[in-house]
Amino acid sequence: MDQTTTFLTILAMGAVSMALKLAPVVFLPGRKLPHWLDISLRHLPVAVLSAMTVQLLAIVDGEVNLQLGNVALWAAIPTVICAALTRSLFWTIAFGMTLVVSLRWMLG
Amino acid sequence: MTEPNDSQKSWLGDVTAGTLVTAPVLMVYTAMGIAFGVLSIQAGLSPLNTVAMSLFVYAGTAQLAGIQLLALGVPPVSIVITTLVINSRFLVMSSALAPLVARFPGWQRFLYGLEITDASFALQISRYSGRPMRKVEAFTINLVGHFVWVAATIAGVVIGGTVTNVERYGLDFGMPAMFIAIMVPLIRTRVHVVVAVTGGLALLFFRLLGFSYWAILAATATAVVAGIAMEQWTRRQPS
Repeated sequence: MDQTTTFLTILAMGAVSMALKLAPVVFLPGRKLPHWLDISLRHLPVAVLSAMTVQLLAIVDGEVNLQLGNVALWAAIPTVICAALTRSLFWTIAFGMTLVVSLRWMLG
Repeated sequence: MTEPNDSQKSWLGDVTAGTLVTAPVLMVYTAMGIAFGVLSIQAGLSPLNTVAMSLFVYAGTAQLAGIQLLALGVPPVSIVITTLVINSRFLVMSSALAPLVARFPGWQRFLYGLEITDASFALQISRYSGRPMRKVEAFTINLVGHFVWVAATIAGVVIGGTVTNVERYGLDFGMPAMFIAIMVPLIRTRVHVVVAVTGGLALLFFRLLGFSYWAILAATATAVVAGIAMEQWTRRQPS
């Protein structure tokens, strides 16, 4: 694919992404939401964050990988404990990344 | 030069606070943006197109999928549809953010919406739950994030050919570590625990069923339903 077609494809990808991000914040306020949607919104943050975390950790090359060799998956357990204890964005990320790098280094 | 008045002071204060609160996110953006730039050049995209992707698409997963599909020569229509599916989660995140920005004028909600990412959503939904959003602070979080994302992409483009195997540096764990750091403090009741556990297990379930990018939405919906069911059930229990 030549770079011009690629550029036009990227613009279309951008338009789609922006539309998805924009539509609710632009159009929802001021509208009366149905009750079920209202209660759903309260649970959304934890629900979507949990699903995305597991997606990033347990899916390797498009397949579910729960094996011991999936270092990032198992490193998530101490990282959760670190998050609960420190409640700090900085320390949790720093701890988690250091742990993963160390484990990968030790396991070769 | 005149002394800054109160509104200028609080404006500066919000810019500073916004930058500080998002600093850990910026580390992750830097790592991921560099990785994206490197991978994009290696996949054969021009430097200009690589930067355009970070500027216009501004969503890590969709960008990484995008460069792979572009490199494979997949038809543009399929690539755009894949982007739509991967990024459909932003509809969910934007809906959850909508009540927080409800008092902003329409054009400000428009500009705010352009800058929604997984990280900005996660950070702001936890920061502004139960207290009003500070507008300047929120826009600072958004703009600084986008700037660093594009700058890191440019850095990745520059070092492009010299780095191999970005995973060795633990960069891939930055994003999940950030989600964990933001999610764990949000879990305060037994219902929240149920929602979190269901979300994770449901994701695995839908992936095993063969869902690919839709799995996130399906798992999110399942977890929300589980949370509502659990709430109803606890309410009916005599305490």
